[in-house]
Amino acid sequence: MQSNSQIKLERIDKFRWRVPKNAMKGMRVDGKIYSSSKLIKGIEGDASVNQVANVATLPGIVGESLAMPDIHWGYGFPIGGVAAFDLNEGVISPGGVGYDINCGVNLTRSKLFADDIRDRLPFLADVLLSQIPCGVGVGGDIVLNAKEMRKVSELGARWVAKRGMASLTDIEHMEEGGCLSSADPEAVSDRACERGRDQLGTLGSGNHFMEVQEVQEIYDPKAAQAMGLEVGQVVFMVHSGSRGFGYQICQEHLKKMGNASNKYNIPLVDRQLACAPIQSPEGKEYAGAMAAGANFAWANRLILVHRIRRIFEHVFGMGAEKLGLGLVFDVSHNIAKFETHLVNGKKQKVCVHRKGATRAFGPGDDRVSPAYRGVGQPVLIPGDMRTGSFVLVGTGQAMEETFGSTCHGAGRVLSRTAALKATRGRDLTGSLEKDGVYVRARKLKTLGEEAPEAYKNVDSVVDVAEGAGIARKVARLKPLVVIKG
Amino acid sequence: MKSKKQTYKYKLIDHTADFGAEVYGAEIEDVAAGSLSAIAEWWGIPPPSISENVIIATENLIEVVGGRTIDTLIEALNEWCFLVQHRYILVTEISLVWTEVSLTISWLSKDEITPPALESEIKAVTFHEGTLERFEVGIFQWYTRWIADV
Repeated sequence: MQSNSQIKLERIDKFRWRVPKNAMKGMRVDGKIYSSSKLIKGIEGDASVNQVANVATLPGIVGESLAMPDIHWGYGFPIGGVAAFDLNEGVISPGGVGYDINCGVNLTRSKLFADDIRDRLPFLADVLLSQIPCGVGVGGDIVLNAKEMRKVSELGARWVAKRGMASLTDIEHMEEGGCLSSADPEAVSDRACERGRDQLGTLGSGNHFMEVQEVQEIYDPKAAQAMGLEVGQVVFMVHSGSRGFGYQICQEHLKKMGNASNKYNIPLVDRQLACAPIQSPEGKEYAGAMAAGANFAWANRLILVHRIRRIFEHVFGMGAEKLGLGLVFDVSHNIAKFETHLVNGKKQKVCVHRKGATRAFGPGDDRVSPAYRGVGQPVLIPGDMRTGSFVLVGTGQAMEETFGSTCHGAGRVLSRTAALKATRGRDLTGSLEKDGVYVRARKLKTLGEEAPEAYKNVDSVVDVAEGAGIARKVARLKPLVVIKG
Repeated sequence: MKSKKQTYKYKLIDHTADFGAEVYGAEIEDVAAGSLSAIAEWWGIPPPSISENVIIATENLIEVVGGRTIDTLIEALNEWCFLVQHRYILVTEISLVWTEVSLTISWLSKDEITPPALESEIKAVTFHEGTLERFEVGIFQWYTRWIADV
């Protein structure tokens, strides 16, 4: 199924295309897509371009409706969509965040080197699969009552640290310190709490993963040094989100926002763009619930890191200090946040929606963790399970152009069914193992759906982000072990 | 077990990262039943059979207040996902009633499922490009299409 767009894109320069304001009735601002001659062919004429235009119709949008180089068709907003809204005139939309609130990625470094542990990788892979709760609906050993669920959603990463599963240094190395203080646990339903009560510290399924990786190449030695990264070093990456807790929050508020859109006479070109004025009761309630979901996700990823640290200690027979398992950074990919940016040369507080996009604040910004203020905020870009992933940093250019945002991943090119067909009859696990990647999955179907060819070439995506100046490459990471739900 | 003859057909449809379904049914209840079968196929579990033996009981009931609209269906499908994915109930038989004011799915279950039995997770059935239509002619007069985020 593919809805087609008739919108004609205007090329601005090598890495930028404009969706002109007159391309569709109701657009209030231009759209802008970051891409390349090669990548743009994959989206020209598809629904994601329409979605960039659709977002531009929403009231109070500031600047442009933006799409990052990994843009693809989403619900309401495109995946890779970024849009900021004026606090008084603008709206907040669950469709601009997505179901998996604060789905994101974190990266932890170690003092191990890949060449020293290659013979242990198959065992490490087996232990990780058996010890990390993952897969459809799989709960973990942390089961919380509704009261404690609300505590997690209020405190985020700090809840994890209070229970001895993370350090204050970990928290300093997380976007927003792993907690949005605007969370309103009372805006979260009992059903959401029920869905999340046994899901803290669980990976989930679909595109969520845990990878052990090797630092393959360093592009920016100064930034790499700030992050404690060097060639050959072993690191691990976790990709997960707010699990059922976040899905339920989004689902409930989409329904409420549908009613609110009618109430406030907001014309919608797509039901999934349902929204409410930021200052309305409905808008405030969603913002509070969404922040609670975001906090849950930060806690979830941090507990996963805690579990993996313990597994490393067990598998390699070393203590935490000797292993040096320090969190490099944790970023969100799906979130709406109140941030101050320069708009038309003036500082303005806006509500920035990032859906399948990463905050990429540049050097010198006092909102960046002190450890990285000199080089820019780390940006983590997972690729596919064969090619690898990237560590980038935010830039001043991103602050000027994209409300401090950049891409979030490779972006899919094949549907799940097409990926399954493409890999049918092939020994995907064996072929990855020949490349030195040990893959373990709860379900073989997931493995086929998430096959490397299902994704765009992550290098192409990252090259656009760097070419456009909205991020800068720091390091390339090669997978060694991949765990899928 | 007294079963009702299946009067729907469905096909799963592709979406970039997700999946959807198109369902045709003789009656409006049939597109709901076909939607449940489409979801069961995605999960890789047997679809529930439609039975007249299912007794309506509040503890085994999904009731969504709403008219004969796509919104009502989507809300019911999301409740269905919660029942199976979170409460781990493997529904074997269902009975459906869709009036002008509500959609009711009564269900019977023989087993619980262990979570890994499901092939894939559904985050939610979305409103994106969802539709429920009635044609004036033909055997399959009702049609629905929806997309799920997975």
